[in-house]
Amino acid sequence: MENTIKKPVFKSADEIIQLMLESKKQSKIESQEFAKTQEFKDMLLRLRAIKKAEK
Amino acid sequence: MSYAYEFRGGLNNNYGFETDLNIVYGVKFRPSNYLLGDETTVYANHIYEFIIEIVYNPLSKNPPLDKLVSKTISEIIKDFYYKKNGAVCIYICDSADGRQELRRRKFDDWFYSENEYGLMKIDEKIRDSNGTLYPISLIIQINNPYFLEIVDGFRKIGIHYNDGK
Repeated sequence: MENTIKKPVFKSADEIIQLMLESKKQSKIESQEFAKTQEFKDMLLRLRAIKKAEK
Repeated sequence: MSYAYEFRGGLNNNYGFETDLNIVYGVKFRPSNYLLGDETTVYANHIYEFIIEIVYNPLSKNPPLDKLVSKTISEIIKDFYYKKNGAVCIYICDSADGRQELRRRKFDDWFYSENEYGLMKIDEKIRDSNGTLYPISLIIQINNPYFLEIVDGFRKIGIHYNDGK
C-alpha cells in the first residue's frame, strides 16, 4: 500500500536560492516567448482599448 | 490611478500591463511550495514566488521612473490576494549583478504604494554558501490563520536566525 504521509524535506538556503533564481530565469524565457505570440498582441489590443475608453 | 491590467491566469497566475511608453510588464505568482524550506506544511501549497519582469521594452535603455507602475503593481497584488485568500508571497532580489538593494527599494515602492488591504511585508536576507546575501521579502495577510508559523518559518531561512547557530 502506498504511504501517503509526506515526510518533511527541509531545503537549505543554497537550494532555496537556486530554485528561486532558476524559477526567475525560466519565467523570463516564458515571457520572451509570450511576447512573440498572437495572444500577446491581442492582450495589448484589449489593454489599449481600455485606455482609450478611459480617456 | 493606475494602468489597465489583464489577468491572464494560468498555472503562474499571470498578469500583464502596458505603460504610456509602451513598455509591457508581466507580474506572476508562481506556485512554490518549497520556499519556506518544508513542503509538507499545511500552508505550503499557498506559497507563491512573486515575479515582476519586463516582457517588452521598445526603448533602448532601462525604463525611466514611472509612479503608475508602482500603483499598478500594488493593484495587482491586491487583486491576487482577493482571488487567492490565504496566499503567501515571497520575493527574492537577484544579487548576481550587485544591484539587489536597488531592487529591494523598488519592491518597497511597489508594496507601499497603496497598501490598505490587510497585508504585511517582512524583510529578511538569505545567504548562500559563498557568502552572497539575497534580500527576500514575505507578503502575508495579517489575518492568515497560520501567520505565526509562516513568519517563524520565514525567519528560519534568514541569516538573523542562522547567524546565531
